[in-house]
Amino acid sequence: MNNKTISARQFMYLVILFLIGSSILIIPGPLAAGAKQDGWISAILGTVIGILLVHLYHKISITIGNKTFVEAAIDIFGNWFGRIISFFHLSFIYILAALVLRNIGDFMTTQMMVETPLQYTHILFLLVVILGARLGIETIGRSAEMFITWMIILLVFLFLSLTPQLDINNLKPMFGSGLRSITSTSLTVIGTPILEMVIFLMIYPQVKEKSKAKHAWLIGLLIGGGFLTLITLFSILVLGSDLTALNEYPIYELATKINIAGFLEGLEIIVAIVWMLTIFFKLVILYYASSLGIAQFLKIDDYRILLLPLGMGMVVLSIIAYPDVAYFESFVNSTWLPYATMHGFVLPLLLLIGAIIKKKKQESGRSRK
Amino acid sequence: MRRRKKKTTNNNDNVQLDSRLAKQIDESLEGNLTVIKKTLGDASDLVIRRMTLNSSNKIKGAVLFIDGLVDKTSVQDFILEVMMVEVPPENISLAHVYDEIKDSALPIGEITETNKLDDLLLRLLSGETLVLLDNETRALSASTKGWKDRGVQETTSESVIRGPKESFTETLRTNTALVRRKIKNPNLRIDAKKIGKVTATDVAVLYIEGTADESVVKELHARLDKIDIDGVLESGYIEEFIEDPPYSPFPKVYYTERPDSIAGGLLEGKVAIVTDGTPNVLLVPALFVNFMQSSEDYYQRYDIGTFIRLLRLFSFVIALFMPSLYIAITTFHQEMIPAPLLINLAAQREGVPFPAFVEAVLMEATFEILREAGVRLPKAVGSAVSIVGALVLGESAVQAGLVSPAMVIVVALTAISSFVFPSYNMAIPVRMLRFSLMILAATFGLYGIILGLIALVLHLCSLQSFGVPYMSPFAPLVPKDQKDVLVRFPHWGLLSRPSATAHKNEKRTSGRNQPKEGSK
Repeated sequence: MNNKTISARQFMYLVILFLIGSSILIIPGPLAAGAKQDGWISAILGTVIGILLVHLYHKISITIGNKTFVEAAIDIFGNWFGRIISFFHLSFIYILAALVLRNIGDFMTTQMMVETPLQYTHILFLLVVILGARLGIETIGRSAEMFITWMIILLVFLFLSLTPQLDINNLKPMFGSGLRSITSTSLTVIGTPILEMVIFLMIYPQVKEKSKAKHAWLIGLLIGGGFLTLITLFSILVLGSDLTALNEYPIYELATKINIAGFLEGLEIIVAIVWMLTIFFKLVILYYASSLGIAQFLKIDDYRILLLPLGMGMVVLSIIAYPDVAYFESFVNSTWLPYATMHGFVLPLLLLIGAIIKKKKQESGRSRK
Repeated sequence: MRRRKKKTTNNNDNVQLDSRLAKQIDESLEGNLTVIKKTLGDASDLVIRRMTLNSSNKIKGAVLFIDGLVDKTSVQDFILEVMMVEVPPENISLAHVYDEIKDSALPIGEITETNKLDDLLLRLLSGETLVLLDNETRALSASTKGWKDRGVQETTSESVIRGPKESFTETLRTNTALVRRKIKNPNLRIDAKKIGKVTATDVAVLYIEGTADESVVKELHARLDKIDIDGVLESGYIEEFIEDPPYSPFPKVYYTERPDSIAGGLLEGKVAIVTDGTPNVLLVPALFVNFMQSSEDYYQRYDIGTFIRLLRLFSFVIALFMPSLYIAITTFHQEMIPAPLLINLAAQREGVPFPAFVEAVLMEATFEILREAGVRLPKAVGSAVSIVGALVLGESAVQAGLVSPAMVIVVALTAISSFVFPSYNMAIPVRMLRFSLMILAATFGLYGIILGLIALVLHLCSLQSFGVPYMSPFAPLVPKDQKDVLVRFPHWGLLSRPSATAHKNEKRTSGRNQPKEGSK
C-alpha cells in the first residue's frame, strides 16, 4: 500500500519531536505540583522507565515482523477479536490526536490569539496536518530533519538566556518531597508522553534500517526525556515549584521573564514557535498512524481518502472532548494514566503474548510435519 | 471529446505530409527537384544550381542550398568549384561518378549519404548543401552551416566580479564547444536530439559518463523522447515538459547562460540540456540549494563565499517573511515590540487610513508593477521608472498619509532582498508566496505564518528532481555534503562530489593537499 520508508535517524527525530510536542508546556505544572522541587527527578525516572517500554515495543515489532499493530492484531487474533483490539488501539490514537489538537487550540486562544474562535484555530492547524499526512511518512521524516535543528537552537537559546535568572535555592531541599511522591509523580510523565509512544508501532515497519531502529528509538527517548527534564528543571529553578504548579503554561511564563540588554523582550514567541513545531509533528504522526490504521482496519487500499472525513470528525471531537481546562486537568490527573496504561502497555503485551504463542504453534506444527 | 477529435485531425495532417516525403529518391534528377521545389512551395531562398559535370558523358547534376543558412564561400570554393571545374576526370564511367565525388572529390569535413527525401529536406533546411545526380538514387549532403549569429559575448543576466565573462549564444554548436573547451575529457558525452514536429529544434544532452547517474540520463532521454509539441523556441518549453511535479511554484530545473556553471554542474554528475536558439542551458537534477549558489562562490576566497551564501539564505527568509511578519506583529502581537518602538510605530500609523495588511498589499503590488515595468522598458526610460518609483510612490505616498514610513522600509528591504538570489527563477516563488503568507498573517497572525512555514517545508520536502530529493542534502541529511551547501570549504577541503547526484564517482581529489605553512 505504502512502501515509502524513513531512515533510522529520521525516526529518532520523530521520537524526539513526539515526546516534546504538547508535553513541553503541560508537563512542568503537574510535576511541580506532585513532587514539588523534585519534579525534575520524576521526569528522569519516567524516562528511565520509558527505556524498558521501548525494549518491550521493539520486542513486539520484532515478533510481529514487518506489520503494523492493526495488521498484526487481525493476523494473530483473527478477524473478530483482532478487530476489537485494533479498534481500541485506533480509538486511543484518534482520541489522543483530538486532545493534542485541543491543546494547541486552548493555548492559542488563551495566550496568543484571544479573539479568534477555537474551531478556526483547529481547522487551520488540521489543514496543514492533513497536508502532511497526505504527503506521507517520507515527507514527514524529511521535514522533521529540516526543523529539528531550528527547534534545538531555539530551545538552547532559551535556556542560555534564562541562565541569569536561575536560583539554585529553588531546588532545595533535594529529595525533600520523599521518594514515594517522586515515584508517584513520575507516573504523570509515563502517562503523557512515554506510554503514547505505542503509536510508533504503526510506523515502525516503515523504518528502513531495522538494526539501527531500536538504538534510534532509545536515543530519541533519552534526548526527548532530557529536554523534558531540562524544561522542568528550568521552570522550577526560575519560578520555584509553587509558581510552576500554579501556572497553566509555566515555560511560556518563563520566557516572558527574559530580558536581554533591555531591547530583546517578548521572547515567549520562541516557546510558542517551538511548541507549534513539535506539536505539529506529534499530531501529524498521530493523524497519519490513525488514518493508516483505519485504512488497514477497513481494508482500504489508500489511506488518503480517509484524511478529510477523519479531519472533520476530529475538529468536532476536539471541541466536545472537554468543556474547560479544569475538567481537562482532572481528566489528565485521574483518568489518563489508567487509560494510557491500558492501551500503551496491556494491549501491546497481549499482542506480544499472542504473537509468541502463534509462533510457537506454527513451529511445532512445522516440526510435526 | 473535442480534444480527441482535434488530435486525430492533427495526426492526419502529419500523415499526408509524411506520405509525400517518405519516398525514396527518384532516378530522375528533374523529378527530385520538382518534388523538393513543390514541397517548399517555390521558396525564394532556395537556390538550385544545375550543372553538367562531364562534357563528354553529359552527367547532369544539381547543387541545392538555402540562401542565408549556408556559408557561401565554402559552397563556392569546396562544392561548386570542385564539381564544375576539377571533377570528374574525363575517362570516368557514368556509374562511378557518384562514388568519385563522395570519396575523393569534395574537400568538406562532414558528408552524409541518404536516399530518403524527408531526411534530405530536413538537412537542406538545417543549412546543409545537397548534391544530387541524375540516374542516381543516393544523394550527398555536405555540412556547410554558416549563418550570422551573435557571437560569444559577455553575460548580461548573471554578471560576476571574478570569473569568466563569456556566456552561451543562440547557436547549439557554439554552446557545446564552450563546454567542451572547459572539460577536455573523453568521457564528456554529447547526445543529439530533435524536438518539435514543426521546428525540429536541435537539442543536445551533455553529461560526463562515469560521473553522472545513468538512471537520470536514461530518465531524461525518456522524458525528452516523450515530448510531443509543434515547436520549441526556448528551453523553457522543454523545462515544463521534463519537470517532475508540474504544480509547484518552485523551479526544479536549473538554467543558466554561463558555461562555467554548466561545466561545474557536469562535474557534480548533473546532466545539461542545450537547446538550439537560446542561450539558456538547462541543468538537471536541480536541488533547492543550487538556486542559492553562484559560480562566483567558488572563484572568490572560501571565507567570503561562505559569508555570501549565508547572506543569501538570510535574504531568502527576509524576502519571504518580512511583510507578513510586520503585518502579524503590528496587528496581533504588539506586546513583542519594545515600548518606545511601539509608540513610534503607532504615531506613524496615526494618519494612515488602512489596516497594515491593505497598506502592505498596496505597496507590494506597486513594487511588482514598477519592477515589471522596469524589466520591459528600454534603458533610457528605465531611469524614469526608478525616479517615479522612488520619489513619487515612496516619498509622496508617505507625505500624503497613504502609507506609514515603516511600511516603505519593509517593502524596500523585501524588494532588495529578493534581488539577492543568483537565480531569477527562485525569486519567482518567493514573490508569489509572499502574498499568501501576508493573507495568513492578516487573518491568523504569527500562528498563520508558522503554519504557512510548516506547509511550505512539507511541500519542499515532498518535491523531487529526477528522483533526487529536492531538499537534499538537508533532508535527507547527508553530513559529509554539508561542506559545500551553506558554507564553502576551501577547494582542498572539497574532497568529494555531492552524493545526491554523483554517488557513482564521488572522489574529487586524491587526498589531503592542504598547503602547508612554510613549505617551499
